[in-house]
Amino acid sequence: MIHKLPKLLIYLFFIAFSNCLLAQNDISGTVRDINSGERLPFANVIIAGTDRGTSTNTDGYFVIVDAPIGEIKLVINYVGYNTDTIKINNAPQNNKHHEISLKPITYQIDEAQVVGNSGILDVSTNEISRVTISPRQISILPSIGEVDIYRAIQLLPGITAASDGESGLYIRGGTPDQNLVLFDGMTIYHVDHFFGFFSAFNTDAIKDLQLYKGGFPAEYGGRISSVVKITGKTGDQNRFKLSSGINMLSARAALEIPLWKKGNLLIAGRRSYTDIIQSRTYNRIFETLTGEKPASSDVSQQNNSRPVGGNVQTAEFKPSFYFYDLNAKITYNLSKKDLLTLSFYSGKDNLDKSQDYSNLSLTDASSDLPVSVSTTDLNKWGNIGVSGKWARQWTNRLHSEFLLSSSKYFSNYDKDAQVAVLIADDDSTGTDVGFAQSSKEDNLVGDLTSHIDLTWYALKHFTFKSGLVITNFHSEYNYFLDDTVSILDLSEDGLLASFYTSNTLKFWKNEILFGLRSSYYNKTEKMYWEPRVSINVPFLNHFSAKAAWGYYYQFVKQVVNENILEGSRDFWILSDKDLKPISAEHRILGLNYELNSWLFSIEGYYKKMQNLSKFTRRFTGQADYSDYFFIGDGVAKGLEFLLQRKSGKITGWIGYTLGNVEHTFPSLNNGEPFPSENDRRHEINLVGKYTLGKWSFAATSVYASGKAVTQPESQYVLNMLNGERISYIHVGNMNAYRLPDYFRLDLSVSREFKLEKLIIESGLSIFNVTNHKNVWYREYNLETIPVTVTDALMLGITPTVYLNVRIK
Amino acid sequence: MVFKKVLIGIIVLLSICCEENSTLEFDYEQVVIQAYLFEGEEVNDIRLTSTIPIGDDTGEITPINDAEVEIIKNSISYTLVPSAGDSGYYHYEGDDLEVFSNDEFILNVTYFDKTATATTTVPPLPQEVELSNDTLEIPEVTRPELFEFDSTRHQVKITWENDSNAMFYVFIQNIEENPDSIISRIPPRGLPGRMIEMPMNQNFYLVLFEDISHYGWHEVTLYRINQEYVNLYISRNQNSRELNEPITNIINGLGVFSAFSSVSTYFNAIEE
Repeated sequence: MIHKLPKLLIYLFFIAFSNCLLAQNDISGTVRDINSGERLPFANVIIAGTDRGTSTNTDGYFVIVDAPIGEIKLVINYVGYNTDTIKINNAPQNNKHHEISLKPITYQIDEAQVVGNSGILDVSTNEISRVTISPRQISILPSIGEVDIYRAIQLLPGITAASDGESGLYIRGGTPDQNLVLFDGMTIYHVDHFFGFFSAFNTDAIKDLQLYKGGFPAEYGGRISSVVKITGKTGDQNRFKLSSGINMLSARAALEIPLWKKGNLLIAGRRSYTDIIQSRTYNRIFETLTGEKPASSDVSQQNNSRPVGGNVQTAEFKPSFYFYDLNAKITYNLSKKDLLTLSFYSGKDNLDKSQDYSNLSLTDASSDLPVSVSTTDLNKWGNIGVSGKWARQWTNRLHSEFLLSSSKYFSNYDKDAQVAVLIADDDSTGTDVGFAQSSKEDNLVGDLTSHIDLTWYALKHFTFKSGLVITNFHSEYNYFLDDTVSILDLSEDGLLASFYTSNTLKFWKNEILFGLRSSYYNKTEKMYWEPRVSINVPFLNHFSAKAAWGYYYQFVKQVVNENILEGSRDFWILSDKDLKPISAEHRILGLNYELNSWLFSIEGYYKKMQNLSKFTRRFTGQADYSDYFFIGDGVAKGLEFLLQRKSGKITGWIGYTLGNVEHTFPSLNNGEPFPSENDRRHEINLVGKYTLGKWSFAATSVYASGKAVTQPESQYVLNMLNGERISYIHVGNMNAYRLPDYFRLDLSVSREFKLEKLIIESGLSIFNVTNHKNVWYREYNLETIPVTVTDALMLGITPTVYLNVRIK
Repeated sequence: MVFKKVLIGIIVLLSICCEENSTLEFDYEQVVIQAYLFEGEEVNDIRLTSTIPIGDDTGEITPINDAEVEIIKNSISYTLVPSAGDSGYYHYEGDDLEVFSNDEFILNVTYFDKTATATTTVPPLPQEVELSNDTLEIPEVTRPELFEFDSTRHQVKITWENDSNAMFYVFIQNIEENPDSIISRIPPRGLPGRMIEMPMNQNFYLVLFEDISHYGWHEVTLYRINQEYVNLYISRNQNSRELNEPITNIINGLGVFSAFSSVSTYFNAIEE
């Protein structure tokens, strides 16, 4: 089949090209926000009473090829906006460009009057496993300080959160690094702040989020699990806008500046003030995540470096933590056909646990001389990226994009301890003597990528899309002791060149999306072929059956460091001949039943993964990093059910996932299959949004069966040659046990106040209203006989408030 | 309204059904073997115990005195018998079982209705073991002075041949009956009279004056050790956030079966 594909494509090309020169009854246009003039990506445009329709591209552009002649009605809908119907008189050879504006649904209006999807998500009617999330609507949902688009995604069936403290997405048995996260075309490697508690994306800077849970088309590559495609907000084209907000952790501001009626500039930033003022919310989260109190009074406990040699006086120190992110985007219409965008993103977390004490005294009676202890303990991590795009509409039917992006993730860990003792001479002048010890661990991963994408709406029933992607990866991982001793010093480059074709063919009412991605990766000196196909078969008016199949490869992977107490020590590495690229095969089947206000969807998936890796530093003391990896395979399978109420006084959804993720590593668990850490057998998600006058209420709830964990089963003691007794624990089979089930209910209430020149929005959120004691992990004190067991709990009931102000 | 009722109903149901507490229930029985063979010595350091289940508050280690234990050398089986007392130790009563370098031994222990088995080989004796000097002068020095103190005159260097990158273990202990404590303002490392070190693959070891806690004669025992013993040290770094099974050479059981060859030498710690 694959080898016949080029012939088929050439045939279609000539048919389409000849057709292109003939009659053009196309309807084309741009869909925008009525207030801001902002382009709306991925809005649906349908000819009423027919099965003809399309969706807008990233730039809000659409074309319906060879549309019926005469007066027709176009129905345009987009999640979070009122559905609009417009009449068009489509004349032959009419090349009129239609500007269509949609009115956003403000959250305090009477939703019973809303026509359209006033909810948070929109499940794609023609693509399997694809959903759209409305960033505008998620601000109503309960939050823990920060409005977080990733937290909203975690409420979808098939997507699991590892814990309250992790905003990463575990999609259909995949891990967060297996998700391709694109922000305006640039790859974002590390997607969270605050040790993972919040995602790195400021909702003020997001216009649209498309999520493919699996079976994604050939235009996306380099990851095996899913795609999160975020389109940055472009800002108001018509007038200057300023908005700001504050919550219990951070403050933020966004500025929208029109540029000579031809474009606009958006700058959005937020920064936590946690290094200046520590709110109760911050203290609770910090303590839950790190196990440390934000202000500690025990130096010896906090100082993890080499002990001074005796007991140390107590003194107080406060770890300092903050995060920030900044988005800037310029959009400029060079002409009616040319659009330039430049997008910048930078986000950073900074944890400083440095201490500086002087005039301490040793209390082991060896000396009364003053001792000074100075430790540097700095951990910084974050992303920085920039992308530039030139999009051109050559004709109604031919659209091209050239995108150049650069993105990098860095983490720097710097630890240094200095102990000095002041030795007094006879003349009472002093001399410092002491010792110093330091370690430095740095990781960097980044890429420079260029894309050329071409979309050709060739025929009424055929759209051709193709592109070339060249990515140069760079990865560094250095670990130094005392500035000179190199424990690990890796620096790698890799080149990935990919070509894809992704085509849509409609026949009768059915739609088939087929494509092929072929990539050459220089570190393995191999070609990788990724055929993909999906089909959508509507029947009986409201039903549609869907299926997808495809192959996926991943060339860069994240190694998760086990110790979260030290901030982010994760690092990324490139695949090579030893650590082969991860691969996956997706098989998905689904059924939708959709009415105006309701949607019921079932999807079953089977994902087979190869060359998965697990990392541990414990089994070996070897310096060769490849010795730390265990390689194996995995299978994820499951069924997802979704019942969604899209409009009405109450909107929301009920989701249920029955899932199973199993890994098999020849060197682990005696080669027997074992459940993955993110295996959750049952998960139920509920989301409800209710409007009463000017008040909005929202509730979210999650129930999940217990997380799979490895547990110790018994303890034993051995005598060593020197008479020392060492205690060991015998560990059960990998992930053979389950933590208690997880349950959480969050509530929120919000209200908007309109003043003469200001719009004020305030709200209260309560996280874990029932104060359910969810177990995060189980801690064992292995030093004692018997072993003592403690459950580390996730966040209990935590209220937060927020205030947002917008200038009208 | 139906949707609202369904939402509320499910939330209430889930909050009731979701249990917060969990119990630890393990009934996994494994025999723990601590079996050491020493070159040139009798076989009497084989100890069997049971594990302490997690959740058992007593923390008691129960010796196993009624297991069937045999050692096989050159395909000949030697049955071990429990030693005196309730210790869990076993020994071989005859005098026809000898332990020499390069001998291979198989240990079989039958208990809990299953047989645990392991194999080890007696390593060669350490060669060319020498001390730089047989006296170690202990100076009077305080901790602050230590930073600038030239201690090269106050140390003993032990050297041996190690061309094959083999693993060794040094154990030093005071062998005086009533040794005098070194009155120092620097607390010594290790246990009183004994030093605790890690396995190493070097060919020398330095005994520093601040390592010594008592005056008098010290015995330095240099063991040539096997990988299964080294693995005990690698495995001791267990962490509750990522649990790994300790590396063991016992099949169907826990612990270690290892053999050692050693050479001893002596030095005297004296006051400067």
